[in-house]
Amino acid sequence: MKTVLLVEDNDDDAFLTKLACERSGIPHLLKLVTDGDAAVDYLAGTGVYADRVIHPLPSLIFLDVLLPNRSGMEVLEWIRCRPEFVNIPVIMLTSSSDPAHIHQAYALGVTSYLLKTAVPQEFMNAARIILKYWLQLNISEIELESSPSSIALN
Amino acid sequence: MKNTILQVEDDPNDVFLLQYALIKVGVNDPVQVAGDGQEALDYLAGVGKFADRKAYPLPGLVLLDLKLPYVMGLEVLKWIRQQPGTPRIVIILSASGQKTDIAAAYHLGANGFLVKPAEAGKFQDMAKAIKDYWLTQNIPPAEVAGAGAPGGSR
Repeated sequence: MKTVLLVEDNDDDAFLTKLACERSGIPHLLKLVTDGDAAVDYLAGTGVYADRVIHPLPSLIFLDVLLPNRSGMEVLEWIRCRPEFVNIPVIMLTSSSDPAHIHQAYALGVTSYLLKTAVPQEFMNAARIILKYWLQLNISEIELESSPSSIALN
Repeated sequence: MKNTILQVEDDPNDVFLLQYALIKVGVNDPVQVAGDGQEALDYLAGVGKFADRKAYPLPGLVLLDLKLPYVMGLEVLKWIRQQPGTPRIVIILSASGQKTDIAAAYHLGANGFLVKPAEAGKFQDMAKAIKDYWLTQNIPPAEVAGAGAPGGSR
């Protein structure tokens, strides 16, 4: 099953996103981390995230912009400097429609930029479309998972 | 405001099938076609007849085939990512989905990768995915004033 990593510090937003993803009907495993440093640790597989069976590399990352410790932009920059993660879609999921944030995110190589909607029903519908697109329609697997050693080779 | 879509495709059948499918799923945005890689570069750079941005507006979304005459799709993508100014959303539409193509496309900064269906009837599924995700959910990069678009209001 494909893993989705949600990087979100706001409890209410995390709850709503998890609920919307669960109800999407698109099978996946959702992992939550609540700050920028934890996102980097998770992806690097360091510290408490060293066990890849419990904390698998994600097929999709939802990243908030405003986060404690490292910001979403800094996490994005960190990810895009690592060739082994080049095929992982990184989606900004934020309530910021500030054009400066949108521009910066794309300039740093974000895959897509989505606005959180405050209306739960709209968000449920959106989650289904978003997960269907990224987990079922778009091709982003380059089969790194079949040979974990290839990650280290990069 | 309507967002121009640039379809870079040398196969007239695929041009027709996708345009027909986009109309059938309710996409109203104008679609421009570049029939080979060089024409795509000329269009985006505003060379020759493409200097007329009223007739040939800069696209918000580029749908890029990989196997193209003169300049290959990956070269077009590389060129796009080297340009300053407004980043463009680039989705690869490939007939094959070869692992090396997928990896190279993401390495060069593609936003997405879809495999063109073998059956004509399935083009509507792909068109719907493009409409529902990229034209509806995704917040595109804002046009940067001065990048060929005179008189930005922001």
